[in-house]
Amino acid sequence: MTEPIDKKELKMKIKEILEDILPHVQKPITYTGNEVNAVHKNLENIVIRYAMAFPDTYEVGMSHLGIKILYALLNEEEDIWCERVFAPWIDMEAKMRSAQLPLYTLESTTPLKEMDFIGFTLQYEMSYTNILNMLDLAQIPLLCEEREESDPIVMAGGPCAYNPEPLADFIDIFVIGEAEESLPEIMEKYRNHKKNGGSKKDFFQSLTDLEGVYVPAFYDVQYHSDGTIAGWTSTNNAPFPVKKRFIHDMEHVYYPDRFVVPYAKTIHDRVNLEVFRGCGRGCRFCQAGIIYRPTREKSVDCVMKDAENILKSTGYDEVTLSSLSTGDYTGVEKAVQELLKTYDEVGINLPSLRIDSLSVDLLEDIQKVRKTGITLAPEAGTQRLRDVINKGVTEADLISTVTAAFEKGWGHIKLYFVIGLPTETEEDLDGIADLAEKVIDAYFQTNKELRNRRVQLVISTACLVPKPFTPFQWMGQDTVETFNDKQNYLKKRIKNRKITYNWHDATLSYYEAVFARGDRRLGKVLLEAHRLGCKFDSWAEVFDDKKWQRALEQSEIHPDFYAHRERDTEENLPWDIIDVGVSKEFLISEWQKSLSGEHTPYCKEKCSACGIADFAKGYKCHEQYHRI
Amino acid sequence: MSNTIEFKFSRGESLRFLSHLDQQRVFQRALRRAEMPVANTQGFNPRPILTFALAMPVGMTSLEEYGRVGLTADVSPEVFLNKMNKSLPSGLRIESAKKLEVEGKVPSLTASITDCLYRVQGALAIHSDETQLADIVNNILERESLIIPKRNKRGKMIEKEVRPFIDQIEILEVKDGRYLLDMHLAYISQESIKPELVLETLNQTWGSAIFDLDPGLKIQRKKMNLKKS
Ligand code: SF4
Repeated sequence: MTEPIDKKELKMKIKEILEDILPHVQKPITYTGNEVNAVHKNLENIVIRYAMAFPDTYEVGMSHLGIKILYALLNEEEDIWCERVFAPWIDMEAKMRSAQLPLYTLESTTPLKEMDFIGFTLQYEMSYTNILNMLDLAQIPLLCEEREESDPIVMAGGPCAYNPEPLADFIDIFVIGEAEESLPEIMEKYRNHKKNGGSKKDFFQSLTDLEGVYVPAFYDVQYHSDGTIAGWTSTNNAPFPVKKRFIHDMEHVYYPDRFVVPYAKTIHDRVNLEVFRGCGRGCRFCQAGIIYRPTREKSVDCVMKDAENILKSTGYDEVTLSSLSTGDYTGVEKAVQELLKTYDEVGINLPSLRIDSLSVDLLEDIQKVRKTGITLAPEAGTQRLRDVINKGVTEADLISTVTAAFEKGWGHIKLYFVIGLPTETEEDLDGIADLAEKVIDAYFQTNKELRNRRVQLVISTACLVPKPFTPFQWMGQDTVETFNDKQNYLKKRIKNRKITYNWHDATLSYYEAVFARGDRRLGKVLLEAHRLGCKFDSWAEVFDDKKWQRALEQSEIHPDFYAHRERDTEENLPWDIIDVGVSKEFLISEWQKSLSGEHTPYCKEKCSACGIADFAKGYKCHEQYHRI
Repeated sequence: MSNTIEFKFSRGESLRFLSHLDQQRVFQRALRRAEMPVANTQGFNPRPILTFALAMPVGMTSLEEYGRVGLTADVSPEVFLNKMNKSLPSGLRIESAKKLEVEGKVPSLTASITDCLYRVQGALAIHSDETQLADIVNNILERESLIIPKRNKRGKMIEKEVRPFIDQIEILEVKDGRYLLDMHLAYISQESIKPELVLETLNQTWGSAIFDLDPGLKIQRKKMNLKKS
């Protein structure tokens, strides 16, 4: 495949336009690519061109581990060239539009329209309008049915793809679950398709025998008169439900030996070392804890090998041991010790630690000099409510953990809570305020010689967004007014000057809830919102509630139907089209246990038969632990 | 400072949008990838001993920049140059390197700068040709004093005398409403001014705009002259 002359000319033109506009925008360096370890290939050997797209800014997208893995994985194949593209910030978009510059890939400055595939990562619902906006900027028709044979195939994957329905009108293929195996399989099918010829539809048809691939065009949805789903018909032999894919053996799964090193400072600007996937704690509001089941660990040796490769190829001086709950990694202490021993100048980050003294000891090891702060997540203010959400920590645990931290000189503590949990009362809100006071008391009871001279406590409350595939998937979300009342109540209750109270915008959480549990009919809302100019909705300074309200009105969609309605457990849910491996019976029993505050044990301690063992025949959860 | 390497480097078009901080990180990471034994500062928050003569503003390219790096072991300048050029991204290049063989305290790179030569390209705000433009500029430069209001480091507006910093301005070309010029700017007790400020001064002294000062201006540092030690 050599490049025809007119395409070369177009590329030169793009470069010229960029020269003109880049000096006028913020952070121009994020639009020029050319970073260390960015992959450049000779087009002559390329059969498939793939644009890995992240529907947010470069700084956000480049912090995301998933696209780093898939970018490297695809580029391992000689005949595939995977490039990157991010959402241009408002100022850049305006310049691009007035110069009629189409959205282009960072590596080769090629218009997206020339790609075979554009693959979006779905990390949060409020990035959906950015997907539409990016397609629009790329001059690609937004709706699948309006795209031509010559247009790229649009794919999507990531956590939000577990309920793909709100995006069904725009995405040709969803990759459900972990993509390390399924994406190369899809590429292989495409190679054959390119060789043999045929329409796009023929290609989609060829995918129906792959697991973990969902082609929305092959399904029809029927509705009852009350708006709930009556049923589905799958056409073209497409599977129903679509089973997610997961990597059974993390020890031998592909992991890159290099990451692209951004020039601009990104949110997570360091080496990401994945230590395990999944989480067996079973917090009932947490979607990741269900969709990423089962828990699969890497050995410390494997993590150390990844560390060596990536540190060498990137020149980073900081690593993160990443997972949903790094404190639960069987090898966490050993990994920290070995990293400290091997790389004396490399900083270590441990995100998402548990509330226990082990965590404090670990942090002590890695933050000997500068103690940056400790973040803990009790999630709810009273024991009763923590039992409802199956958060297995007690007030005593929390107080002893913060006391240990104060004794070791930390003065800055952050506590995360969720409001709007089922059965929540004023007492539970009081619990948050009281817990905060008790943490401050614990500071003052700590030996003056040991403790930091200053104490600062940040209390942060998120608004519950009931998510698909969680035991809370049937409940109605609190209204925005209720959330605001609860936040105002807490504002009044938290008066201590040593405590700062932060809260999330309830309106944003409301829209999140609409799209998280939405169905196909929301496609027209997205289309309308995009037409009205909605974009970067997760950015408070851009988010425009009025436009969203207009979009909803014009598309005659009642958002409360999705956000506030309590569903019957018998109801067909839009995401029933996907099978994540955890059974509905398990989720129902968890929902019931939640209302009576009954505990479900941690997977490592006792298996609660969530369904994974039936889903993946022969798979044994417990064999994935204790690899040290 | 026994194992200090002083290097000259250039920055091309492809990396002109790096900020100074970005560029520092690029060098730190390139040094680590090249497995250079970089020495660190003492103290609570050790940082690599790496200094640059001047910060490079976003948008500028350069043919001559200088940096110094302290090493904990002996590395020959040739090895340093080769390894670093393999490790730096295209767009940044080490042009030469030498060992800093001076006993005792060495003056900093910044303190050694005598003058810089800039090449500036941009759009004209007036209709003019080479000769006319040169006349206008030379006319203004005949004054012994050129004062311009400027914000100081603390954000206060002050009157700034800029004439002593301007050695020479040479108009090279005027074509299709765009100009090309060279500007020699002096360093006086470690202080100088930016080429943009010179253009602004010329505009203000002239009474109306000669040069278009939009961010599309292209500036290249062509030379940085250091005191011979
Ligand atoms: S099968 Fe058992 S151990 Fe495995 S994820 Fe489900 S509950 Fe946990």
